[in-house]
Amino acid sequence: MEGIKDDVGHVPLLEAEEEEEEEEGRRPLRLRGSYLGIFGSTVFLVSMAALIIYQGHDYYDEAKIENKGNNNNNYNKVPRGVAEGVSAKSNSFLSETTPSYNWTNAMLSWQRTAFHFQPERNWMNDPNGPLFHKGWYHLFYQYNPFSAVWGNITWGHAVSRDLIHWLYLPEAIVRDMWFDINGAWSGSATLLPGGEIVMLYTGYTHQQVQVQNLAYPADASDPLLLNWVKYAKNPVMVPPPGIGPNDFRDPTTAWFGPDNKWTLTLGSMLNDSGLSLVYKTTDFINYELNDHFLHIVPGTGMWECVDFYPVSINGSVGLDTSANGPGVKHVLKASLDDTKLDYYAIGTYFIENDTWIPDDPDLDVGIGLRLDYGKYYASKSFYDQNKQRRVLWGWINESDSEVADITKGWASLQTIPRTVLYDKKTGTNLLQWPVEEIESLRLSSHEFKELLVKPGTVVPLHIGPATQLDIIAEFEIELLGSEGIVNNVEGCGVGAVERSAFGPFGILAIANDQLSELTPIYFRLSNHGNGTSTITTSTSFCVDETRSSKAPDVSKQVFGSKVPVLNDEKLSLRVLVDHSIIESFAQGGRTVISSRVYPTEAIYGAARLFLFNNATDINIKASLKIWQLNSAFIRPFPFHDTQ
Amino acid sequence: MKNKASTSLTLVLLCLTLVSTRLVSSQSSSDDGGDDLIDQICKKTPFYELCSSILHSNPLTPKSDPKGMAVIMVNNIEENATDTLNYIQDLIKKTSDQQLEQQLAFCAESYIPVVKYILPQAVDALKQGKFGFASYCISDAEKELDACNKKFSGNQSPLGDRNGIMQKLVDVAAAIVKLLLNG
Repeated sequence: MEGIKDDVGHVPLLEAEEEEEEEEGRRPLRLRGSYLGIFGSTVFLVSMAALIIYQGHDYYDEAKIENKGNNNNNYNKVPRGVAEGVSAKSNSFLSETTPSYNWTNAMLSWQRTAFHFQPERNWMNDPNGPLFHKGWYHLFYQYNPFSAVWGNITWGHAVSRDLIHWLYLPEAIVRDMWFDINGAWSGSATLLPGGEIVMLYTGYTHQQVQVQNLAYPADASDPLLLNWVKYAKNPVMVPPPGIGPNDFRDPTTAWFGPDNKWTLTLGSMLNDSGLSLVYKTTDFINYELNDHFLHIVPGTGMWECVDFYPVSINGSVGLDTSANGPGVKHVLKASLDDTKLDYYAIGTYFIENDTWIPDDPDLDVGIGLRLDYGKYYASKSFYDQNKQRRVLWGWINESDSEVADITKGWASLQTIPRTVLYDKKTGTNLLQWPVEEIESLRLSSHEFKELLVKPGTVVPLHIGPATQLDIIAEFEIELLGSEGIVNNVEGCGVGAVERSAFGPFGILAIANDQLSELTPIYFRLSNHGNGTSTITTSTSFCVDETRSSKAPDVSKQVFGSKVPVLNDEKLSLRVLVDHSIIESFAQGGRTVISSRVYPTEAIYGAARLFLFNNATDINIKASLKIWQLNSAFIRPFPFHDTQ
Repeated sequence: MKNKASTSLTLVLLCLTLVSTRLVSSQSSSDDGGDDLIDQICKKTPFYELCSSILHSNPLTPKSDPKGMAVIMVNNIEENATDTLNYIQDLIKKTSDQQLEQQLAFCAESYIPVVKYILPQAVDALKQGKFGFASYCISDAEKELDACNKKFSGNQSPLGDRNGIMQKLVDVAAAIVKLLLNG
């Protein structure tokens, strides 16, 4: 296999194509004079087209400039974004001595997903302003139009009828005013009762201050909301006294209250305590800051991408952001700048003074439950009035090296959108589940019933291709030998190799026949006996990336958490496999893990799916239904005309 | 010899007369301004007679504005779809067959966005000259109609001819919009 040369920015495929163009120009012109003009202008036009198409690939020139002439193995000591006052947007897990793998084009191309939202090229991060309007779902997103690393942030835009089949549109908000020239950062949409849409977003000003700006659609009757107008007198909110100019960002959707005002919140920090500021407005132009914070949690650091919304404790439908009353709890969520993790807590909103307290202070924001225990950040939800559900987006960054991202020309994905419901069975968790529209991608299926997997064995599942899958599985446990085994080793351990009495067992995804590369997704049970011989069981749900790839310049962690399992429940999981992303859901979505894998061998036709049981004292009986999933054919909107 | 020459000459003159008569008559019908344009356009669609009869029978059809003709056609589809949706919802109320009810419910789910958003947006887009977007909407509508149709096999569809006719109308509309797109 030919390797890619190891200097930054070398993209063999593109260079080869460029060479072809040059050769065409150098072809000897032995044609008649009358054809010369046509040929000449054709070459000219083709060259111009090539220039326009390939100007997007100036990125590696820019990357060189950003690296200031450093060698290819230089990883920025200060991660991207931090200097500008946002969370780190580059992977700092690699040291300067980590060898760079010889990634081939085949390996890199395979990594691109078939049905997860990602732009055609370049860098993406936070999802922004998601909304449903006149038959179309809109997704905006933090986007770098020039490069596969964070920077030059504008709002990308895409639409879909079904949250799955996306069509790219032109950028919606660009950095062209003093109040956002250094970045059109994250924000949210509020849909007004009359049908108007207001967008609030964070701008990074020419003086490097974080401010909040108002924007709205240029043409309210345009179903695609192509063009946006910025309020002439932006910003509408600036950092208040006592709040740092770099600690003030990511305004939420506003909700309407009994005081006949709109209220919204945005994250900030004081002395390492993360907090959420409250603003009120009647016109989205003038705002009053509340005396009280919505909530504050010491030691959690800056809160980015705060999200605040009601859930029904009945748990069957999503609620409009303004909903309130008995039978409603409120979720407060923050993305922690310091750790790049998304936390949430369920609690009570006191609308009289706009404060919120968690149901369980031990599970407060930033110290309790996470929305996703894998590679996941900057999530944002919206109320989908079309189907009366709350839908959650989350940004999935790359876990490979920046060099690889620049080489392959893109970085980051969004999760498949998930519905969010309060888990009324446990009362402590939210349930996340891929939106049902993903089922429209299902092609053929295979079903397996009660496959027996003995301790220390691996069972291949013959399903054909194994890179685009929807897997639903249930596991039953059969105790072997005498009862009375107590195994209190909890958690995910060092990975799937660590055997214990009651786990790990589960599936091996993106694995090759030789099992030299594999990604186990598994359960591990433990029980605790005490003096009176009552046994309580705890279950951990885990994803083990440590053997997902032979490449050394890739982050390979074990992710996971305990997952509540009720007495009458079987162990169940759902896994979406889509090339370099795996989204895993346990117990109907009580615990979710997103992970990125970059195999070098278990790609294309070599990727397989297995069941495994690495426990020592139990048999497993697994029942599975596995669908092949089609591509979502995400592509530019087919306008065809000169609008 | 002389007879043959004069016969041939007569024949030639006769042919010429016939040909020129045809030319004259076709010129005079184009002087009516438009009926021919409708026919010309409809001939470029998969269902000429359906297209022609709808456009000719509607007094609001503009004589020489293909864009207006496309609007008339899409409005027609919208009326049909709205009617069919009501019919589906009626059938749902009346049936006790669970499987049929599910199939009809699926069809209702397909028709609702078509009636509520897709076709009205196609009409707006046509009026604004946004032919690419209009074209996309029409193909979207077709997908939804098709999805509904596939729920029923063969002759068992309670929607009978309705879906079939609408498919044809959609094909006609799509063809007209394609003409507009290509100038």
